[in-house]
Amino acid sequence: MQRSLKVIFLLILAMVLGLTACSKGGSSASGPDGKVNLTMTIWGSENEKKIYQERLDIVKQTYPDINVKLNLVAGDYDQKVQTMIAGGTALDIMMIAENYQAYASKKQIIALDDMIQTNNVNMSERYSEDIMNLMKYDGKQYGMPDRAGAMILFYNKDLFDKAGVKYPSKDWTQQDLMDAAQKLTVKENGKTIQWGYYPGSWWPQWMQLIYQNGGSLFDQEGKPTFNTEPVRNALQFMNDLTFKYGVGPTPTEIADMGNIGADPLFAQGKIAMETTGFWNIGSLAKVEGINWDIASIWGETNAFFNGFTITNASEHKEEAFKVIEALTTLNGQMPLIKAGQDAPATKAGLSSDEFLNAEYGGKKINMAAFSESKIYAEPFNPKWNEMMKLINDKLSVYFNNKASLDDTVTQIQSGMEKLYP
Amino acid sequence: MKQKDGKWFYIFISPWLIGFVGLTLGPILFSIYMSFTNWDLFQSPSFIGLDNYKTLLTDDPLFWKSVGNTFFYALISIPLGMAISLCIAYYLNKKIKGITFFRILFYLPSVVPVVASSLLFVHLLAPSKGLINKALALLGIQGPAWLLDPNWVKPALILMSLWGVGGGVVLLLAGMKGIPQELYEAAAIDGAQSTQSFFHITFPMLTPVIFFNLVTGIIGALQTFAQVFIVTSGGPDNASQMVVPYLFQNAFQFYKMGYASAIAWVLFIMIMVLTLLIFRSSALWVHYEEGKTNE
Repeated sequence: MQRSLKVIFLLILAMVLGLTACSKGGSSASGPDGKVNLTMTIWGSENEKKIYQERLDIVKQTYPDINVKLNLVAGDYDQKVQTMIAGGTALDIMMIAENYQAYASKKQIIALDDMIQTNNVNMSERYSEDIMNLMKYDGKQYGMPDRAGAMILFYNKDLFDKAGVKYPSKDWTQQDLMDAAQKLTVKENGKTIQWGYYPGSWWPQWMQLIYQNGGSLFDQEGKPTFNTEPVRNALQFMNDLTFKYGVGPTPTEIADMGNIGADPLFAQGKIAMETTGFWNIGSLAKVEGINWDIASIWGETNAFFNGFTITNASEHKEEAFKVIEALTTLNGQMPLIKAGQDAPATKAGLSSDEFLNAEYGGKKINMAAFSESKIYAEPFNPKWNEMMKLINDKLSVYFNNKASLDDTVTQIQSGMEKLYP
Repeated sequence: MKQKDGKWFYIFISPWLIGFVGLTLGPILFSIYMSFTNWDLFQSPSFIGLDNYKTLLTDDPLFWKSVGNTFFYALISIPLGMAISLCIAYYLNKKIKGITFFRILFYLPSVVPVVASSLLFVHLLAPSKGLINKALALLGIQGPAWLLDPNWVKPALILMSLWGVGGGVVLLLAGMKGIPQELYEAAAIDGAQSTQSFFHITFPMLTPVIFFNLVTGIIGALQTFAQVFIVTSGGPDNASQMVVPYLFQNAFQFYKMGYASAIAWVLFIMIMVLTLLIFRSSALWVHYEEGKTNE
């Protein structure tokens, strides 16, 4: 009895160890015929997977000896990729967005500068400077930007015509936005039935105003600068839009509409202007009976981007670089551009006929707005998620007009000083 | 013969044992170690002793706020839920035509996934267009902006928790069905009123079920996650933040796996102590009918 018990426990232990050992086995290896197998993870829909597969097929024509296995991660991308890395799953190329710095600071992805040089890639020919800078950390290039659409201003032409307001242009200022929004707000029996603009509480909305005011979240030495005039003015402007002039829905009104976002409200013609990313173009193209167009933001703004990075664990970094280099040429981006899925990050892509003359919902729109946009150096850092929670916790109360501006900025400033000592 | 049985026992139970050792016990032990390190999920962890616990207990107001919120929620939602489920079970035990329909009706909500019911409550709790505030308006009460108001967001979550009382009702109902009819008959002969027989027969006979509901209810309430994650994200300004969503944030959004492990262990100790206290107290109020059968 005693002995058989011991044997069984040993067996169990052996099986458990065996299982964990199995999971360490890599799949990224050289094949017998000199071919190299790589794994690449992306997020998105099945439809997007098809587009990436097409792009990889194009790359394959240049590098027939490199096989790339595409892995579409469904659900929480970061959490799953982290688990894959921590579990030792072989991964060579990763699509990453704004939190690439977390991965870079933890040495999970590598700086590409050396390979960019040895492969003679002219980065400033490929990207505009502000887009190239989007994937820098500590002065080094950690990713090849692939998709980078600036935030743009969507406006409802019919509502503008009805109110007799001139269409927005890139020469607008914050004041022009405010003036237009006031003229575009319609009240009936004391209730607002149409808002001029939807400021919301999403970080790209308020953060762009800070940078437009000449401010930032950190100074040159990396010390937080939340309690400064440009920040205060930006936040005050946001609250004035909603609570002083009533040109945007309040959090209560938004909750009453079932926590509806700006996109559906704009599609319903209930707001005349909204600022958001490229994806809304595709959504609006499917809406009938709305006459809309896009314009560049009235100053510096954010870009919604992602790019390709190479993992530190990859055994084929050179080959991986060849693949991501080829994916970010005009040729390699073409399926993405043709599908109208997103704004390409490259200069060539943004100025290509396929991108500029694409039709959405049967008509051409002002696609040049993307290349005309100015993008500020977004304050990404390894503690981005923690910082955003800290800020959003306080701003959600302020944007509901339930806290003073003074308290809000001093609390956020002291929280950030603790986070970035 | 006996020895042989023992061997077969272990062979048949081994799939479960392997799963338990590999998937549960292993990670649990691993997390003890991790709670003493600064593991960030990627780089190899370095040992930092009790630092995580020190920070957690002395220098993290958010942790204490989430503990406070969690206990506030548990302290009100559990007794309230148990009282209501007892009430409902009592009336569903009556012999009325069509009672099965009502039993299904009350149980149905607990079959709905939390995610779906959470989204439903976002609409029900809307400040002026939500059904709950509209109903209050009919009574002349102006309802609060539930999910946007730091004072009302926890009551809102408690209200949501009552949606799922049906699970407890089913157990209580089964318990009621198991109470021998003779007890009631004997009481009736002695001249007991229906309230008397409820408090002297039904309630004592149900205490094992109530005890079970209490223990599982406490564990469930202290581990609340989905409702907070979906409905409020802990807001406004952490007024509805609870321990497990806070743990999740630290682990997977802030890359502080070591710190999150420490939170998990502090929570575990809290739940353990509470459960032990309730088990200890059970001798005083839980009534077991010993050894007797009706025949």
